[in-house]
Amino acid sequence: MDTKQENIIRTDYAEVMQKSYIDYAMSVIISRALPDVRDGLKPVQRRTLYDMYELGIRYDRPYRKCARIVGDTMGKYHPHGDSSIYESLVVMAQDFKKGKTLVDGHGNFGSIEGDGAAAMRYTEARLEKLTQEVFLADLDKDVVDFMPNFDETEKEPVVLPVKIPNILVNGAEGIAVGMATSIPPHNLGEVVDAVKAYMKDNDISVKGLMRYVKGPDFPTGGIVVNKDELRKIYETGVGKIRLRGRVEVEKLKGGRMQLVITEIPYTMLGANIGKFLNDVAALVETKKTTDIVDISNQSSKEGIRIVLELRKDTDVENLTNMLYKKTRLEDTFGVNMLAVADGRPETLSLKQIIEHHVDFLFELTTRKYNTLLNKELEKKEIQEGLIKACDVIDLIIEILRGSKSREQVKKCLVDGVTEGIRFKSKASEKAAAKLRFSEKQATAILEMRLYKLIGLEIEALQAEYAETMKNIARYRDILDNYSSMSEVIMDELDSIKKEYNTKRKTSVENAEEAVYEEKKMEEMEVCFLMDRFGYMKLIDKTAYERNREAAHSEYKYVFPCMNTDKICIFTDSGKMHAIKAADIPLVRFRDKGTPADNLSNYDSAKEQMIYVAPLGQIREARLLFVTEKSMCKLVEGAEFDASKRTIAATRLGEDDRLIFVGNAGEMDQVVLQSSGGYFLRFLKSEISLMKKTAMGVRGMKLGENEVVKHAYLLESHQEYAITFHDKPYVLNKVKLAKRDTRGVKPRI
Amino acid sequence: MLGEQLVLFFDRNLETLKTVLSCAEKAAKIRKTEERAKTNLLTKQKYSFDSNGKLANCEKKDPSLCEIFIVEGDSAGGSAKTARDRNYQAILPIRGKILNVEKASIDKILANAEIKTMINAFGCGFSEGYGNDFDISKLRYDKIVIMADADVDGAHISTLLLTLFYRFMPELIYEGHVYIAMPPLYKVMPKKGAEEYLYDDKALEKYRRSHKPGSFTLQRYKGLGEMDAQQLWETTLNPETRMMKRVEIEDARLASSVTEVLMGSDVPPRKSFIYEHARDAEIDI
Repeated sequence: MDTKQENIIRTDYAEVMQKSYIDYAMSVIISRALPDVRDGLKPVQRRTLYDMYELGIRYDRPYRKCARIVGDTMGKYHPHGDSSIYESLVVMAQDFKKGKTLVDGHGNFGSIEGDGAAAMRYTEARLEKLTQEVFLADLDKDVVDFMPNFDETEKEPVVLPVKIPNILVNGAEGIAVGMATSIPPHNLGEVVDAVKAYMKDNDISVKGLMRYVKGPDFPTGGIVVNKDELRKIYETGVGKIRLRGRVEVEKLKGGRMQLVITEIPYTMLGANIGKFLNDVAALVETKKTTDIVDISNQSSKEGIRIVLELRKDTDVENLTNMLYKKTRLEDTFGVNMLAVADGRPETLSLKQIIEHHVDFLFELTTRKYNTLLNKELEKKEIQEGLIKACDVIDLIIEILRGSKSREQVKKCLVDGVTEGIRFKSKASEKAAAKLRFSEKQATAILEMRLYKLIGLEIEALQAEYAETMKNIARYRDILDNYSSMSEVIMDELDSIKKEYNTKRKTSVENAEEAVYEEKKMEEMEVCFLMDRFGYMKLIDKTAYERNREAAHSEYKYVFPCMNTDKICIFTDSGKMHAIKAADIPLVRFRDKGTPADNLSNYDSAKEQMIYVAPLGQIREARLLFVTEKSMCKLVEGAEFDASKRTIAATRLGEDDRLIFVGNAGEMDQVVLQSSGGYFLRFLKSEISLMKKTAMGVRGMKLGENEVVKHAYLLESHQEYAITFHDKPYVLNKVKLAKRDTRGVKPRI
Repeated sequence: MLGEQLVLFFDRNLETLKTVLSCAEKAAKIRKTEERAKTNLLTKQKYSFDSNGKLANCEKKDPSLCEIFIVEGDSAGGSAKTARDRNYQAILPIRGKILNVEKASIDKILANAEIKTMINAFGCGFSEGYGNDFDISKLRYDKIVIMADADVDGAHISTLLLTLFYRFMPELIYEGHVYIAMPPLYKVMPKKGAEEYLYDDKALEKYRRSHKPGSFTLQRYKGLGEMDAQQLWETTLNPETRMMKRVEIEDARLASSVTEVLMGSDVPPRKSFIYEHARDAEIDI
C-alpha cells in the first residue's frame, strides 16, 4: 500500500530500549540528580549560582526578583523546566534545610513546617557572602575549566571553585535511576579541621578524621543516638543514622508538667511535623497512653515548640520512650554517600570525599597562582623595560625625534635597526644599535607618559619593581613547594572557618534503645475457659459464677486466674507455650473464643495439649511429667516462669512423647496404666526432683511395643476410681509396688 | 460439614483468610474499572474523538493510509497539529511521562487517562482488562509514530511508550506498525548556500569537517517546541523528506528480558545494567 519512497531505518526493539534507556539513566545520574564530589553541587544549583554571579547579584547589592534569576538561568545554561530551577534556588536559601545557606532570600521562602515558598514573581534573592567568597571567588583567575552551554553561545564553569567540602557541609539528596544519594549536613568548622588534618597526614584513618568530624550536624539540631555506628558509616559511606528530637520537661504551677519538643529530627522537616501531631493524637485516641492531656504546636520564629500537656503523675521517661518508639520523634536517616567523582557515580567514604576535595584544592591553587605568576612576569618585563628606558631616556628621545614613523622607532628599540633615523652623533647611533628591548617593552615605552620621568616617579617605579620581584618569588615558592602551597591553603581554610563557623547544633551520643512499659492494666480476677477445639476466652468472674455449671460441662479447661497472669499450655511434643492473659479476648460467656493457634506458637495440626494451667498456679506447684516410654520426673514449677513465648518443658528420648503433666502437690502416689492393661502403683517419693531439661527415671517396666497410656496421681486416703472395661475400678486397690516393676493386670 | 470445618480452618489461619479476601476485593475493583472503561469505550466509539478531546484526527478513514503521531507535551502538540497533513495524519499529544506499565498494576493502567486516550484512539482494544478484546484488524492507523523531543527525557518517554505497546499490544510491534520519528538535532545556516538539517552528531561532525568554523551558525533543537510548524512538517512529518525508525523485534526472548530489566521493579539488575553500559551512553549535559 505504501508507495511513497520513505527513509525508514529498521531498528530492533531491544536495541532502541537499551540505547534510549542508558542515555536517559546516565544523563540523570551524571548531570541531574547527583552532586559532583568537588563542589557538592548538582548542575542546576551550580548554574543558578553562576548565573547570579554573572548578573552581579552580590551580597552587598540589592535583592533581585527570583523570576529574573530563574529566567536568566534557564535561557543561558539550563534548558529545562522553570520549576526545578526555582525549587533548587529556594532550597539553597532555606536555613532549616541547609547547613549553610548559599542564597540570601527575601520574602516567603517557605517554613520548617513544610509551607512552600511564594511564587517566584514575589520573592527576591541575592548571593550569600559565603557563596561569593568561598564558592565563586577567583573564577576570573582561570581556576576551573569552562564549557560551552547548550547552544554554544555562552560559557559555563564545569565545576565551581569551592574551597570547602560543600558536599559534607550542606549534604545532598537526590534520586537518580537505579541509585540515589543521601548525605547528611555537617559542621563547617569540623569539616575544615578534618581537611587540614588530612593535609597534614595523608594516611590518617577515618577514626582519626572523626576526631574532628564528630558526626552529622543537622540545621534542625536533634540528637544522633548511635554514635558508635557512625565510624562504620563514614568508612563505607552507607548506613543508618538514628536521630531523635530534643525533649524538655517544663514544670507548671500546681505540680503539673508538660513535655516540650524544642528540636525535631531532620527527617521530620516539612509535612512530617503534622504527621507527628496526628500520631500522638492517635496514641491518645487508642488509649495507648492516658498521660497526654493536650497537644499544641506553638512553633514560631523563635523555633520549634511542640507542647504536650501531661497528667500530674506521669512517668515522663516512660512516655518519652514511648514517643521515640511509636512516633517519628526517633527516626532513621539513611546514608548513602554517592556522588559523581571523575565522571562516575561512586559511593565514597568520609576520607575519600576529603581526599577528592584536597586534590581539588591543590588544583585550584595551582591554577590560581600560575595565572597570578604569569601576570607578574608580564609586569616584570615591562617594569624592567621602563627602568632601562629611564637610564637611556636621552637616547630614546633622540631616536624619537630622528624617526619618521612609529614602526621605525619600535624596530630600533627592539632590534637596534638605526637605518633612516637621524642621530646627532655617531656615538648615539652606535648606542642605539645596541638597544634590545622586547616587543612588549617597546610598546610600553612608546606609550609611557612624560611625567614618569620625574625623579620620584622613577623611584616609585623601582619600588614597584621590587614588589613585583617579591611577588614572583612568593608565587614561585608556592607553586614549587608542596609545604608552601599547603600553608596557603590552610591559611585560607582558617580564615573561612574564622568567619563562617557556627556552633554545632546536633549532639552526638550513644543512647539505649528506647524501651517503655505499656500502661499497666487494672488487675482483676477472671475466669479462663477453653473448649475441646482449643478455642479460648476469658470471662468475667461474675459471669462465671452465673454460668458455673454450663461452663464446667461444656469446657475442657475452666479455672480462675488473674488477667495479668500467663496461661501455660504443655503439649505432647514436650513444649510449653505461654499466652499472656491480657492477649486473650475478654468476652461474654456465649461469645466465640479465639483458637490457641492464633494467640501462641501452638500448632493444633502438629501437637496436642496435655495440661493447661495459669502460671501463677504452676509457680507454686511441683509438676509430674510422664512420657509414653514411662519416663517420670518431678520439676519445680518456678522453672517454667520464662519470658519466651515457647520453651522446651522437658527432654524427650527418641520417638517419645509426653502423655501426662500434672500438679503433684499434695498427692503421694502415682499410678501408671499401660497399653497392655497393666497397672502399677508406687509412691511419689520414689520419683526424684529434677531440672526441666532432665529426661527422668523409668516408672514402669513395659513389654514390647507397650506404652504408658495414662498416669494418675492419688492421695492414699482418698479413693480414686476410673472406668476400666466399662466397669469402675478403684485405683487405690492396685497393689502397691516398687517403681520400675511390671505392675499387675487386673482380672475383670 | 464443609462449612463447619472451613470456619475452624479460617479461625486458625487468619492470614489465609485475609489473602483470600484481598484477592477478591482486588478482583472486584479491577472488574469495576474494566466495566467502567468498557462502557466508556462503547459509548465513545461511535465518535472519533476521545474522552478528553485531545486527539486531532485525520479525514481519511482508510487505516492503511492513516498515521497517528504521539507527541510529547502540549507545546509540541500545537505546532504538530498545524503542521500535519490533515488528510491522513492524526496527532495525539500526551503530557509528560506516561505510567510505567511494567511496574503498575492492571487497574492503575486502565485508570490512567493517557493510556485510555491511546487505546481509544487506536481502536484495536487492549490485550488485558477490556475483556481481552485486542483485535489488530480494527487498528485505525497503519503507522503509530512516537514523536518525542530529541533529548534524554524524550528517550525515556519513548521507552515508556514502547513498554506499553510491547506488553499490551505486542502485535503492533510484531506487525511493524510502530515507528519512532526522528526530528533533526541541528540546523546549520551557512552564510552562503541552503540551510541544512542534521539528524545526529555524526552528521554534524561531517558537516564541521567540510565547512570552515565561523562560516555557518548552528541551532540545536532541544525540543519539538522549538520548531515552527513549517519546519516540523519539512523535517519530521512530510513522508518525502522525513526519517523514521521502524521498531521490530528480532529476538522475542531478549525483548522480554530487556523490558523486565529496564522497566521492572527489581533494582539490582537495572543497576548492574547501568554500570555495564555506562560507557556507551551519550550524556546530555
